[in-house]
Amino acid sequence: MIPPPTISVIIPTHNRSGSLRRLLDMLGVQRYPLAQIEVLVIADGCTDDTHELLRTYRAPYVLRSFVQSSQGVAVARNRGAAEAQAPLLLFIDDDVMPGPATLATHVAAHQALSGLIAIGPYPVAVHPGHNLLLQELRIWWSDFFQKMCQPGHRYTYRDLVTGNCSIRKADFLRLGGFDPAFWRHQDWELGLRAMKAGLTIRCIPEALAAHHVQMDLAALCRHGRTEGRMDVFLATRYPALIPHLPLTFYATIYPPAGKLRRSLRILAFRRPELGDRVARRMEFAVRRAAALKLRATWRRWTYDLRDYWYWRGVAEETGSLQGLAALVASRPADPVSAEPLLTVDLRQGLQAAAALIDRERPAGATIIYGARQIGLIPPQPGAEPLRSVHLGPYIAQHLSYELLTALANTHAADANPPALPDVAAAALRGTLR
Amino acid sequence: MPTVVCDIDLLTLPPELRDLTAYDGALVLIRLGGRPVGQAWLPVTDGRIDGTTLREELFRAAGWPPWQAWTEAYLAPIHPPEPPLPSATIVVCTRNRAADLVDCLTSLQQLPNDGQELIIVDNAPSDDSTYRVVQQFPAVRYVREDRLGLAAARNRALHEAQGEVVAFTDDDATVEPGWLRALLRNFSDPLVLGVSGLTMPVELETPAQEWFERFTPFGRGFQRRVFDMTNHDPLQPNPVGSGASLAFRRSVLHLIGPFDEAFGPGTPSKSGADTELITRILQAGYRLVYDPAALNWHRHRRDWDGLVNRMRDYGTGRGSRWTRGLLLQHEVGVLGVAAAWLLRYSLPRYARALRQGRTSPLATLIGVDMMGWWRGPGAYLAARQAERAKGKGKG
Repeated sequence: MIPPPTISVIIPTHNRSGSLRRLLDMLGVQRYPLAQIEVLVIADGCTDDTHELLRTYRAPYVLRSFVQSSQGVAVARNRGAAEAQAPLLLFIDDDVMPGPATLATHVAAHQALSGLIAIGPYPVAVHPGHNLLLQELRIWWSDFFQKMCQPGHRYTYRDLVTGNCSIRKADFLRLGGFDPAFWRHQDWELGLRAMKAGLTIRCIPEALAAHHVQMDLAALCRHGRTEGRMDVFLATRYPALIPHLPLTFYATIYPPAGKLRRSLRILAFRRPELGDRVARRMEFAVRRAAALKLRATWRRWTYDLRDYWYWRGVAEETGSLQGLAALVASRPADPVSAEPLLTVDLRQGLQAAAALIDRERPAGATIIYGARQIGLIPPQPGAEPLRSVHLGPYIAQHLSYELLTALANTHAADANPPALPDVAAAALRGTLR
Repeated sequence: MPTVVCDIDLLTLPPELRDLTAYDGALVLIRLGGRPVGQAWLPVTDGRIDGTTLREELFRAAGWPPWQAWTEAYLAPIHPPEPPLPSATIVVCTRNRAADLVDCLTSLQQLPNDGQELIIVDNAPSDDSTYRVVQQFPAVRYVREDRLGLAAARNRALHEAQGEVVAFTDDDATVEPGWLRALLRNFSDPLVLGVSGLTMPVELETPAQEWFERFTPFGRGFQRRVFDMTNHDPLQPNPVGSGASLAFRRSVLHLIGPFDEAFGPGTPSKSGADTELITRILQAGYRLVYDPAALNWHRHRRDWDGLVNRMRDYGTGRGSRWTRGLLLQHEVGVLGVAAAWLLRYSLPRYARALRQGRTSPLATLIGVDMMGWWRGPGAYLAARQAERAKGKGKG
């Protein structure tokens, strides 16, 4: 009798047979019993030789493949999850190459913690002759995973990315799977429900994989537009997120963007045909700037262009500026006052404060020092409850001025160690004034 | 009159500074709990600086960084643990400066032992004095590189080194005990290929040393900065740091390539080996960090002629680098950078300096810098030719 698999690898794929073959090869050299691996490939509207590959590929593990017409990646992943035989699901994208220890690491992470969603980092792989866009993306993705892997990171729904991500099948089914209405950001949407259900998102640095990303300017614009539309979907379904979505900031333009960006945003809502023509011209200009290696210019125009397509997508779904205004106005009242905050007194000692946070796991906290108010760690929609590791980095980054003011006005004899020496405290009082 | 260099911690301020009759000014490195947070140039009157002035001036000069440092120290007990540091090789490239090397090696022996390797690259020596100095120190590897040039010596070191990170310091510099760890901490970000540290002058006894420190200091301020192509123009590598305290991930060799041996002391381009590599790292989309927590001390050249030559060399190196960028990498942006440097920076400054007289120190320094720059393109072509000739001789 064949023992049941312990991990089901789910790969949705669309016209990338070359990359898929390399991924299947990599799964065959995992440091994990191959007999316990089941791989499910869901070919979503493939028109290349993917079917041929799946028919002829001789895998050292159980390989099952499914075919669907172009229904999107959410449907494909749900299908894979429904068919999976193993208690643990690992979603891998067809352009992500796992390392030899990736599967074993995912399995071990779930053995150590229940209710886990484990994210393996998959920074962009280096290819010689990378263009500016891919370099920019590499920096962005590297920072994304780097930040997530910091011990003091507070996880939010936005950390759930599904290129190299494992979850127990029971948890996945309990959440109801991916929502097919979202053909982008379906991972974030799942992340919101996962956070509400009390699941734990964690980055597992050892589950490293490499992302062989394929992206050009046209794809960037397409994605920008879809993201605009999806943000409207998210805002409609989860009004608490509205203050944190870019679509709240129609009128806010950060320097040095300025006039061009403002005009493009207006075009996106008022004269989209004209806007699209301008955007195509800009695409041409962006390519010229890249060819001449004028990085600053290239960067500014690329972001302007992406900004245009984002708002074009928002305009498509909201219809008009009035529609957008109505959507933004539908956000709930101040979320800070809605949630109960935990009061944390640093005067009791930092360790005690940390222990209190770990005991209570509040959504947000008021930080005080004796009688003095230092500040607030606000509750965030879609974020995990506070842990003690969040406290130090948050204060250092946002509240150091307030903390110092409180310390400088506390007598050294009174203060919980370490106290400021008198000379320094006096000078500090002068500086803070 | 010379300037005295002082090293003062804000938490243990001296009541006053005395016995400075030989000096008319002081350059103070300001620390808080050992961490460098700022510097101040102060006048010395009657051989002393009184306590009140000292305290007020130091706190004013330092500004916010000491307080940020203090907050972080306060919060340290609940700070999440740091990731482990990568393994390291320390490299000192030297040429016929055995006397300086003794101080350098002595300071390197005082680093906490984290298993780091220590290599001395002796570059085309004219005698065995360096070898004899190295023999006095245990656990130091001696490597002789006969191809003349700092870039050649550093490339040899990158090939010889065993550590994941290779940290370079100069033979006329001494390091603080925390120097290496402070550099290594920054490599936790996988995109970071290079980290530079703060270099302070060990003495300012002669006008040449003081002018050097005021005109082109090695230090780049007291704030940690991260550089990549999203926030910094790769064609402007200077703010990233100086070669006296510079560490690279050894993988820079296959990701970016070695130092370009057409640059640096010992070649017609005279300087620019570090900055040229920094430019290529930024161009390739990787990162560099400047971290003032990594502190070392440099002995500037004492003689005025040495300083003037050095300024000329810096100019030549810059001109050569830009020539390379334009000819080899087709970086059109070089034209804009060069025009801005000449028209907005150097010429106006030169014009102002001329008002103090043609032979004033400032006018001389700016003048030779521009003169050196003008020779840059020719020097680069000559350096390339020399490179090719060397390659032929070898092959």
